[in-house]
Amino acid sequence: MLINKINATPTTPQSPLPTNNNKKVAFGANPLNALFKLDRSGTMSHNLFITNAFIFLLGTRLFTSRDKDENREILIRDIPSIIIAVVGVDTIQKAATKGIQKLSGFAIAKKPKERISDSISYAQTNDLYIYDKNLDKASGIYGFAKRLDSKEGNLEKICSKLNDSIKSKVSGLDNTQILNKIKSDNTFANELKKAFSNPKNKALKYAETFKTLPTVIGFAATLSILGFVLPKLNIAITEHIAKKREQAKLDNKNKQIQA
Amino acid sequence: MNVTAVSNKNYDVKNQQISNAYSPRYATTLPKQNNVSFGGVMTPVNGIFKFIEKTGFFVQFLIVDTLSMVLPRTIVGLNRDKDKIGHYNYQAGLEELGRESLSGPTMNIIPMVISAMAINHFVPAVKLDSPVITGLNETLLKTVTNKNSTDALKDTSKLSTKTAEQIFDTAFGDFKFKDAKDATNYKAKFVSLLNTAQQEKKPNLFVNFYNTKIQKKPSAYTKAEDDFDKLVVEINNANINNAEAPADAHKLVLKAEVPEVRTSEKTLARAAENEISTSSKTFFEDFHHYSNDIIKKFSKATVEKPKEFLEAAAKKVARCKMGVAGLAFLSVGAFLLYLPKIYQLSKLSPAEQSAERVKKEMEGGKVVC
Repeated sequence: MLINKINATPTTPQSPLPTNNNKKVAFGANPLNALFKLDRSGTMSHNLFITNAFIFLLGTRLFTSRDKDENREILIRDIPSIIIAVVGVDTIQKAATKGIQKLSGFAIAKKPKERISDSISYAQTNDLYIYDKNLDKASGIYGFAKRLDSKEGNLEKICSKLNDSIKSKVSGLDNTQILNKIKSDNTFANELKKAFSNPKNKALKYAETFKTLPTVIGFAATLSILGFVLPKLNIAITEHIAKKREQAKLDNKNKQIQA
Repeated sequence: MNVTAVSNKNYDVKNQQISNAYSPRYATTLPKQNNVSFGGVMTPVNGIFKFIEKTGFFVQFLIVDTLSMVLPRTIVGLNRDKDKIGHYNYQAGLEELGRESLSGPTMNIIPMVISAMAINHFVPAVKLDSPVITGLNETLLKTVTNKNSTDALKDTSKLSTKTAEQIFDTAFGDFKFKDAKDATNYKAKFVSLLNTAQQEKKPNLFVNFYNTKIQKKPSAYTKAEDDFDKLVVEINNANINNAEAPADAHKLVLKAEVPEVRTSEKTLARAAENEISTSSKTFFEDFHHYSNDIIKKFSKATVEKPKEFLEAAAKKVARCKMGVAGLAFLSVGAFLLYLPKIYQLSKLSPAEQSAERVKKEMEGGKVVC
């Protein structure tokens, strides 16, 4: 039995659990099957990479460490590094994407209805913010705007960036009102279409900037935490422990002399 | 070592991470954008990250990893105890450089090399994700059981053509266009481009870069891939069934029955929402590998039970995929075990040396580097 083709509008994640629909189901999953796979680019899949990092990256460094101090530094540096690198940075970026989407009103999230989400790519940004003439054959500028609405964009904020004339016309209107205006006012619809058809339109520029910000934040977080904070913390801890060790030895020596 | 500052998977299954499925070449068909005055700092930053996104996963990883991990840690290493020893700490710096620059990239390079060898020399279909193979197998099965295709069975090229026609019907059969002739035109172009995918050789990264960027004469495969992407976008946008612009104009959806793995009610529910959709450029490459592997084997063999033949082929690919992943996993492990011998420059670690300097300082002696 064929799976029904899902239409262009994505279903919400909150939709009720679907029934089996006579689909083949293989019981007793082999977790190794799910773990041992490579991505299209040939790199290890996310979970396989993390497994490899903990077993081999961390394990071999500990196995070949030269002394106790190096052992401790490996644990303090590498365990948080792996966790932050594979989970933390991604989470920071995803949270930043949703935050920026809410603040700016620009649709920049891949999964707009979820709590956190990756940003869309630059090519997807082009699709969302540049009107493709092939849409004239089907849903037109209305469909183009409706898509931005479906992706949790704020049409007033987006359209205001195009030019002053459009800004004055959408001022104070919510998404539904703007969509109705496109349907009812041909002049407005055409003006909007012309503005969005410009491949250098300002809404696109803003969208690109907002979509880049989470990546910059993620990059800055990696640079600061993993590049500087952790290594410096490591060095400080080593010195502190060495001082304490040495102080204890000196105190012992002094006690013996006094005795 | 840093992972996925920017991710780039091309296969889309709902509830998995939907990631960047767009080729950079689509973006470069737009006219160059001038600096806009309000852009300020962000315009060049956008430019840098656009370049990073265009170059694909591995180059992204290299750039981000180098700038955010390798360089800063090397700088911290060089400056370790600089005030005590009076100059840069070359041992600490070089060890950081050696360790960080070699572990991160090799954890990606080794699997990429093993995967490329498997695809180019042994089982090309290993590149495809399993549900896509299932979808294509179903389409091929429909093609071979179709009475009009019997003359194509023993010829790879003809069988590919018929399969491409079936793919179009599967993916776009229920689309409606303004002009009735559009469907016929789109189908003809679609099939012609997939024929190119089957017949032409896919140039490797370096050759492709040279042809496209330096010679300015992209190969037949590359040009067909770009045209295929534009065609899929046009077809999706022109579908009058859509009340709004398609959420993803580059998407191609194969209808197929996907066997699901049930580990719990939750997993079953999520698996049931799966649809086999790929992005146009991903699918173009997938068809290239599929036609040169499974379709070719099918046309060369005497196949009495097509369904069983294709299921066996899919199982073989699945086993190979797991084998390749396992081999990559262990190879990376072996290299990482050997790696410390390369970057460990002395018997005393920089950590131990730091501890020794602290000890000497506290004893009132002179700190020796």
